[in-house]
Amino acid sequence: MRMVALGVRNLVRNKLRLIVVALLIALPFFLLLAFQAINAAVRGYTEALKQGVDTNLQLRAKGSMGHVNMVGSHRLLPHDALEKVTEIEHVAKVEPYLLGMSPTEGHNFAMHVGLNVGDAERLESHGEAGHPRIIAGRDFRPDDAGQDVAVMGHAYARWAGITAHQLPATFVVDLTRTHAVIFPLDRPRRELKIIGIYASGYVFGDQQLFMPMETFRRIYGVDTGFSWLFVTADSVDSVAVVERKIRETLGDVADVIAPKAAATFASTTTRTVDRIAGTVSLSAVALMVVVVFFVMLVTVRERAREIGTLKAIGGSDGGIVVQFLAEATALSLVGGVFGMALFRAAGGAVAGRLFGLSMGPFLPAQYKDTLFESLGGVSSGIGPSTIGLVLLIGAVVAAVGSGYGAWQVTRLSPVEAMRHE
Amino acid sequence: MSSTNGVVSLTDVAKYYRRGAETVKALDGIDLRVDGTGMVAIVGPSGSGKSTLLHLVGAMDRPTRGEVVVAGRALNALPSSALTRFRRQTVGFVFQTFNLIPNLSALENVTLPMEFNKVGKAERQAQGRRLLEQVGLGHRVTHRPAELSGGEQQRVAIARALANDPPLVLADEPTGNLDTETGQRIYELLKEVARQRTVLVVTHAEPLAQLADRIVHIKDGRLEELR
Repeated sequence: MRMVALGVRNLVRNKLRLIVVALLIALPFFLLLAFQAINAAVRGYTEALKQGVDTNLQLRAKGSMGHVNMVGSHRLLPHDALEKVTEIEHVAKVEPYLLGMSPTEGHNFAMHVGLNVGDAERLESHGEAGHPRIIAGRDFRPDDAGQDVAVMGHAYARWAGITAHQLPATFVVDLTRTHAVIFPLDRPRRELKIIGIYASGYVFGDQQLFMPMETFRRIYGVDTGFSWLFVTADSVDSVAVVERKIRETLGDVADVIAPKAAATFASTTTRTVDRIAGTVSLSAVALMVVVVFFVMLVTVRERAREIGTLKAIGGSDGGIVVQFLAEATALSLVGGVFGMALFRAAGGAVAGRLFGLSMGPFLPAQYKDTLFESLGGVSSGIGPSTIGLVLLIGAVVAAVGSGYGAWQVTRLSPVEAMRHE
Repeated sequence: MSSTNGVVSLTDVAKYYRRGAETVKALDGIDLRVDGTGMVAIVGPSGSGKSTLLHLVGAMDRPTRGEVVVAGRALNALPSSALTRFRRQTVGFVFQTFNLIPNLSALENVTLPMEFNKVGKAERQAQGRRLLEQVGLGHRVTHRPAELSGGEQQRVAIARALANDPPLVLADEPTGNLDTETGQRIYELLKEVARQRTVLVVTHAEPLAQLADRIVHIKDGRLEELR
């Protein structure tokens, strides 16, 4: 403790050296914080972009639309496909659907969809669109599972003569009616209670009717299998691997339709950003390590005469090293605080320029421009854990640089140490 | 203070340096014995090995050959940690260039060897002030080296050399950076110190050496007794 106190006292006594060396250390601290801020902003922005990228894959029976009464295209996915796909790594969710067609006017038809209550009510032909807005009545509740209830699009409701103020209304499902591509099913007519009407914004989307999965199976007499499975990957980066695993797991029984945007995003933007951000971070850390190490090493070696004197008047080698370690650690912390103060004052502006010089040229143009605009608030993007880590790295490097320099000199005799300068 | 009988004993001591391909014989078979209190002046031309001799006696360097015994301890046989303790407790060193720690006050410079020797704060403060009073700097305790004249700095260095009350004080050209008048006063101070302990002084200045109780001359790595 005595030598630690000596080191800290020595630091405080020479204010000019304290300020000069602390500023030298502050500069790489500042740069590292700026690059960390850029990385945080870039990664945050990339994550935000990822949220907007479709991560849903659609599975259908091989070569079939999977509509249970569509001429020539009514084969279903095997029932165990649901369980197999659910167990694949990086699969966040699987939504099973059953679909049947029902004629309306002329060559038009509506779509009846069976789904698990609470799933996304994905619109046929617009599978990426789900949860259409309820404009009358209500949506499904958990206790609707297995009940003879349905939610229908407002265009289909108008055709069926159901208005908002009639809800709940009765709708009769008649599977004997046919169409050029719809074959009849020998099933009894069944009444459904329409509990809600929705508007999707799609013409065909508004001509659909959603009912609980078990209800669909009873009405259509479909005991097993699924028309479609909608598989949601846990991130845009996992889409490709999930697609590959599905193909391996299900073999030749299914068509897998994967979003092209996800593949493009993963192969270009995400990978590029990750690579550049990693390189820039490492470069900034390396710069800080090199600068802090050599500043401390040179600072100590310039004081070889002082070390020789301390040895000559009875200072032990270990004690002298401890004194210099304490001084260096305290100095690096002061430098770190200087660096943070500089960063708070000018981090955003400098980070923007650094981004333009370092990462910007390597990013896709459309991405770079929008990201550059988002870097305005960059200085608040650094958390205490990052600052703590940066300070810790700086302190350790300063201690190593100083300790190594002091150790080198203390190994010498007092006379040699005093001549070492 | 330890007994000073047979304080310094050098037997066939040599110190060689390598300078490129050349071997420089700074000392070559020196025999010297210093007993009791008093001041011994070591004189000789530049490069004659005077400072090297002092460094070997003060455990600041190790000889190439021969035996160095100081205060009953054979320095050749001591490990590094023991040499550190030896320098802390047995010798006080006064340098030509003072070698004070620039960030510390006069009092802190004087008390530093006592801190190394684990002396309590109150005791070392009292001892430090007493020593500074003794060298005539009682009014300069809080001043840093840069705020003191050369003579004052050397007096602080002498006070520091006495901090742990060593039996032996070694002074290497203590007046080399001082004017004649100031140098004379430093010698008088060292002479006073030598009343109670052994003081070895290396000097160029023959008139000042005349103040010593004994003078040895060193030339070409060999000693010659002058008085």
